[in-house]
Amino acid sequence: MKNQNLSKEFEQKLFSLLETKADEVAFVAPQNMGSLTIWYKKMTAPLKSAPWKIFLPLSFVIALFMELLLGRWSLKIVSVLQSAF
Amino acid sequence: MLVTLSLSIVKLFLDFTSDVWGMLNHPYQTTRSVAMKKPLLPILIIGSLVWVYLTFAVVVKFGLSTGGLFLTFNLGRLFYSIAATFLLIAISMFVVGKLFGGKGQIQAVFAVWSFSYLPTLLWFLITTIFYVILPPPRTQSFFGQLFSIFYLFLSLGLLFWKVLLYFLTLRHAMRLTLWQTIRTTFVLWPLYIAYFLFLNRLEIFKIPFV
Repeated sequence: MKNQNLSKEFEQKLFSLLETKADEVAFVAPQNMGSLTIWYKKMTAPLKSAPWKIFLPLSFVIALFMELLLGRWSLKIVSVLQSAF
Repeated sequence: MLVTLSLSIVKLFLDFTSDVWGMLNHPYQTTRSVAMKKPLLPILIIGSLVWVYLTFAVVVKFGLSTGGLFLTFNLGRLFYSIAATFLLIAISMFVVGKLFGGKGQIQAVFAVWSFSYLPTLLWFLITTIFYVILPPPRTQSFFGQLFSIFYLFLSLGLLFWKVLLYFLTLRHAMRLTLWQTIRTTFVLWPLYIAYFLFLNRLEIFKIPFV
């Protein structure tokens, strides 16, 4: 009897959690960009979870290119940014 | 009752910490859940962190010898400018988003947008610390260039995070599609740039704290 009550309680809690999750997922309508939708979803999927895995390498590559291409000007940009606060 | 109240406060702070961690690791899910819950506590906590940072920044910039009144005036001027900027940007996102068909609520915009101040706060804090440890200007020596690459790397990483949180604010708090977001951005950003130039002219911010 006690086991049946515990099981019912567990079921109710699980149902409530699933309901909350379903409400959350349906909170915004999915993006619809016509024929571009599949490409959009492929590009944005990595940004939904741990986007820093993309941001950090991309930032490093851009910073390196800026230093190589701009040279002296990148140092001036950094000096200006450092005085910005 | 006191125990229940304390536990509720602890739970709120734990929720906030969990949301901050989520903004870093699962920004899409976290902004969606914050837009649904619409909590007010993050705005207060992040506002307090901004206040603490500004106290530190004002002391670093002007020094303790300039006098308490001068420091307090500058601290107040900066904090209220940041608060006004936050309100202006959040309200403009809501109004323009609504014009383009958004269905969000203003509380959701306030709640989600407040979390976007985390990368801003981090960038300004790192910049202030580096200003103390390695004051500008940078030289063309090997270490100068190395630091320049490192600093740009940090700045760009935080900028990408900020841009992502901006997009997710419009996506989840205002429930805009991508095309609606692009149109909203084209309307908002010229206004923001004009506003930031105005603040720069008033010598409140060199780089806007937004």
